[in-house]
Amino acid sequence: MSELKVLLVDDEEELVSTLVERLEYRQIKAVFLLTGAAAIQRMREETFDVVVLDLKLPGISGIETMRVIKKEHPEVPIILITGHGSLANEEDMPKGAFDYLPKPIDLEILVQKIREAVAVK
Amino acid sequence: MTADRSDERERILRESSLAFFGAITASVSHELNNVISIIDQTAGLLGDLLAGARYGRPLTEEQLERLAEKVKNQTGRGVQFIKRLNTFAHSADEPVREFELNQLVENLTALSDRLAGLKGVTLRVQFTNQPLKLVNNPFLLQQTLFLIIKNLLTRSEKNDSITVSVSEQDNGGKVLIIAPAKESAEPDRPENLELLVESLEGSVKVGSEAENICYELLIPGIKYR
Repeated sequence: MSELKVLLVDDEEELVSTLVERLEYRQIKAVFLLTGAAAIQRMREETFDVVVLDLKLPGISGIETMRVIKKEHPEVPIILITGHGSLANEEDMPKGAFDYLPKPIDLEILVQKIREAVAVK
Repeated sequence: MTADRSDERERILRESSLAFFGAITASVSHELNNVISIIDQTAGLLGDLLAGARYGRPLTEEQLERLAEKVKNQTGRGVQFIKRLNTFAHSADEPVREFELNQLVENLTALSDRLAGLKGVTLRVQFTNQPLKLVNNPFLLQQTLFLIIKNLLTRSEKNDSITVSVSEQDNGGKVLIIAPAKESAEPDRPENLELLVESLEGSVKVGSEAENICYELLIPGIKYR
């Protein structure tokens, strides 16, 4: 089985860089980017199995980033992450995402969601 | 002023103040959530490294130092947010009291940084050399400044700067808020601006200067230099 490759997008560099280390510890290759614009550009140059995307991003929002990625790469599942406390229910989340996770993220749940997302592709 | 008009004015002030309080606490809670998330993942990474070490994977002093430093930095960041939020919350303790204008502007702009950052906009602040103590309503003043900054952010673009500068004028304080003007947008007065400025017994001028939009807010009540 080939190695999973995940793109993490969040403007909290300390957070995503730590998540990358932890995912790589679990044999998941991960790359992080800090803006939606950078993620859209990188997706045009490189293939990822899953995108993990924060809803609140500087410049192009997470929602807009997801819209562009879904349009250009409909086959790539997106897992949203949010620190928005009131988005506690699935129906509150924007349509088009494979799933969503509230911050702080439970890494084992994130890994499980990544594997599920790839399995249903 | 009739009793009805006064009641309506009080209602608008109460509702807008509550919305302002909510906007600031929501923003700070997002920041604190990020701080906690980083500490949580760093603790998780430490656990991963320790688990690996039990199976013979090397765990170095440098790795431990790096993680300890990360936790220390984030703890400091969290403490800063809590101090700022605490200062902000206490500004509503009394309707009128003495405060230092530079400190108030510094705290409010720092609390607005996340909002500006999401738009890719930088908030710059210029202070007076000497402290500028006023007796007025610090909470309503912050609400007024936030209203103007928020209004300017809606018309700002990525990499723009909004400059907030403090000075002394006419036995009071002056706060000048300047942002780049956009061709399509005339400077306007956001809803409730007049009401807030009246409540401060101050005045506000809105205009264009060179290629900028400029809000000049005068707040009376200088205490001493």
